[in-house]
Amino acid sequence: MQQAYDWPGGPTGALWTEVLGRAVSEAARWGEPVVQYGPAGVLCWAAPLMHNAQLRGAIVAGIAESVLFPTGINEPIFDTRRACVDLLDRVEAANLTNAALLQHRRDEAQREQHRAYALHAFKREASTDLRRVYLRQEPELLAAIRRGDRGAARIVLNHILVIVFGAAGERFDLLKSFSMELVATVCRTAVEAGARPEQVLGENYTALQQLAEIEDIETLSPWLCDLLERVMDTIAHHPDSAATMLVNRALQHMREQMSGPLGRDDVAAAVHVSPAHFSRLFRRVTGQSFSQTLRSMRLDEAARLLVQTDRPVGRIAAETGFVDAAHFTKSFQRHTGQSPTAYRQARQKASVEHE
Amino acid sequence: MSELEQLTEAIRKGDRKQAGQLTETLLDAETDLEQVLGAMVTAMDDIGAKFQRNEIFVPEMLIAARAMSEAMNLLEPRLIAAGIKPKYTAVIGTVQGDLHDIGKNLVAMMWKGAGFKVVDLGTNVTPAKFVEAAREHTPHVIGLSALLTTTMPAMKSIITALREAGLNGSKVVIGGAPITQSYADEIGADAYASDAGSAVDVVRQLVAA
Amino acid sequence: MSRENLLEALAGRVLLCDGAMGTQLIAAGLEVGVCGEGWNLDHADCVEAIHRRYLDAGCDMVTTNTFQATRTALAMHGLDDQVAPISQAAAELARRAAGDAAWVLGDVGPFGGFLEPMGDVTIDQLHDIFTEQIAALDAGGVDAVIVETMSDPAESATAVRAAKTLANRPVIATFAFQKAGDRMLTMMGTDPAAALAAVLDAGADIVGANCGTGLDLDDYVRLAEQLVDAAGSAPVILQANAGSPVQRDGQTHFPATPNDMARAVRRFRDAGVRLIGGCCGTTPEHLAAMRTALM
Repeated sequence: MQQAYDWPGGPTGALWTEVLGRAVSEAARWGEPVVQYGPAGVLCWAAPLMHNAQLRGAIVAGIAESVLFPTGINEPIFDTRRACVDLLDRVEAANLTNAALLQHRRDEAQREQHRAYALHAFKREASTDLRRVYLRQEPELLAAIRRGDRGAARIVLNHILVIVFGAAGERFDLLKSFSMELVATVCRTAVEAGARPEQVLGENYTALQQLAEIEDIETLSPWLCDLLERVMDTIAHHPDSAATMLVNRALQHMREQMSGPLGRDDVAAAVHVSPAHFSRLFRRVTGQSFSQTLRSMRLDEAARLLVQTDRPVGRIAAETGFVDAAHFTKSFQRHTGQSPTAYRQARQKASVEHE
Repeated sequence: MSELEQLTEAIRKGDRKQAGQLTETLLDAETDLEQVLGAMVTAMDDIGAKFQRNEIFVPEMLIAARAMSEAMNLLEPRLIAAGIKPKYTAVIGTVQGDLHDIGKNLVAMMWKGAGFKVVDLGTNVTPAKFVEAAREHTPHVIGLSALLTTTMPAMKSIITALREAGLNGSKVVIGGAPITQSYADEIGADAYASDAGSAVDVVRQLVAA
Repeated sequence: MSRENLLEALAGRVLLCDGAMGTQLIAAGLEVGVCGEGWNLDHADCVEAIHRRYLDAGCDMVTTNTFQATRTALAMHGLDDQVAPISQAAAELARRAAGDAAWVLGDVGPFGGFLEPMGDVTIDQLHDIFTEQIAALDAGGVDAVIVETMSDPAESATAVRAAKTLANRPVIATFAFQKAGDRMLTMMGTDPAAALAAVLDAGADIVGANCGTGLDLDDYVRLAEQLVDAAGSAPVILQANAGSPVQRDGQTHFPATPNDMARAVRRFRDAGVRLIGGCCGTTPEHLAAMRTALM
């Protein structure tokens, strides 16, 4: 088949085989299509095909750069990211690839990515007082645990790990005593959040035993992440925590849909409860109203996009669900104390200085 | 299609509502009760034969049986009032130690569908209870069911108990996932039925013999 | 240290589940007709010892002693108010035996009746029945849920959905097939393709067959091929009986020896089965031979 990709004067089949092979194995490894630059300015991406959970091949799609960016146009005429996602969705829906396995790998990759992002952020904030940073992060972690928001808890924990590990450096004894404190705090919070005390205490006890045996940073970091997952399990699967599960589903839905117009009634409908009941549950579990939570979710995402991408501010506002750019700017200023542009400049400048 | 044929068809399809309505219509029109019963038996015979040929499976069989019992509930009081009794009586149960009733219930339904009076002793039935029921009902056949390999030896104890009590008038037929013809021969059962469909043929041959 | 994700592990290598629980309980003194699941509460040591024997035999995972632990199944023993304690205790004692090294599968079997329109139970009621048991298994700390020995795809799909709603962890679904002419069908007349499609659609992550009626080891190999074909991208599980039982001197006898099973395991693996275990008539000795065969 690879012959089909050859054309006179074009790249050879062997080169294509290598590029496509890389696209396939990377896609399987990260659980999502990876865009690869191929020979002759062709962008290609692949969705892995699996049988019996084994990689068997791939569907590969591609487009020449000259087609993607016609002369004189800077914005691509075609959204490759959306095309990648669409390709994978279709392959998953047809059971041509193992969706559960890819989802697991995506989650893992995302955790890694958050850790890397946190490390990056830490390098920028290295000059600020460490203790202060940690103290600011800890309540965030505990709040995320309390409302059973696994995604947020993971991000904050990664952040904390990077800060503390960075600070403690080679002092492994310090790290261990910090970890012990963290285990105790996390477990106590889980109990407050409604997990069964005897189960969490069991978790706590086993954890402290295991911790005593850990002797290097490489083991300690994933172990703490794993502990967080298990503790979150004890909350999420507590039979009485139906409200927490429901609110979690709602938060998940909000994260996925935040770019569009999203009202309380839409989210209530998505989790199959009446709007009034939804509002009560939501406030009880998160301690915040629906609209407050949605607003900070949107602004946090906007902040991330400002630092991590170079998309224009107007586009970021639209992508995070703000219809009016002026309104976005005002809200952002109130949320962070800086205008979007100032926020971006400050962070990106700090980042350049560090690199 | 006559209304009797329609009744047969309704049971065959498992249309409970229609089976009930047709039975009411037939009874209101003073149709011969034996003929109504005959229409129902024809349907269940057909279901049993299809089941044996693997043309239909448990779901279709259960749905047909439900339609039949809907019709039977209406017919039965009239049969009793008219002094028409089932020609044959069967006692059935799952043996001691075994709580599985799906297979036993299917056979009971098919026997009822074939016009038998069926006394269902339930599950986990001791040899003593089988002996007691055999004395009380003097059945033509006794059906023993077992799903577990660990409980099938109880079948032998039941047959021994019946023979020791001198209850030789009832023929014993056995069945269940682990049961085979050779096991039936080994423990001295009168017959083996491989599935709920053939259970009807087997007991008809036994009572005709 | 901590366990690998089960799906990730299966993508990399063939794994071994455990073998039969019921016959082991009887060997340990459980009387016929007594509720084996009740032993999780009053003979926890015995159940834990059986798990340990399977782990010593080299099994990668153990299955909780909760095959008939739904409210409806326990009602036959008058234990319908004991769903949560029985399943949770079962999960906890399996975890004690497995420690951190082996996976624990939370076992869910048929509820013992029929769904509408064949029976009187609605899908919603059944969902609640399964949810009650699975919540307790979850609370006891299982790594995955296995919905097994099913005949009705709708029943199995309901259990899979209940498991998926409750917990973000792998769900395994298996059916019991029997020979019907030259085909393999469940008691409800469902073929492997339709049965697997139903549970995959409900979100099952690992699919296949266990137990079965009247199947010898050659039949299981044929079944394995059909399953691998029908499962698409999902990994396949097969837990075979030790052959089809025969009676000898009033005793039930499963004909396949540990050596027979060891030979069959290689054929299952070659047919593409990723997760292999035993069902009725298999013992820790069978599983030990199977482990050696897989090395």
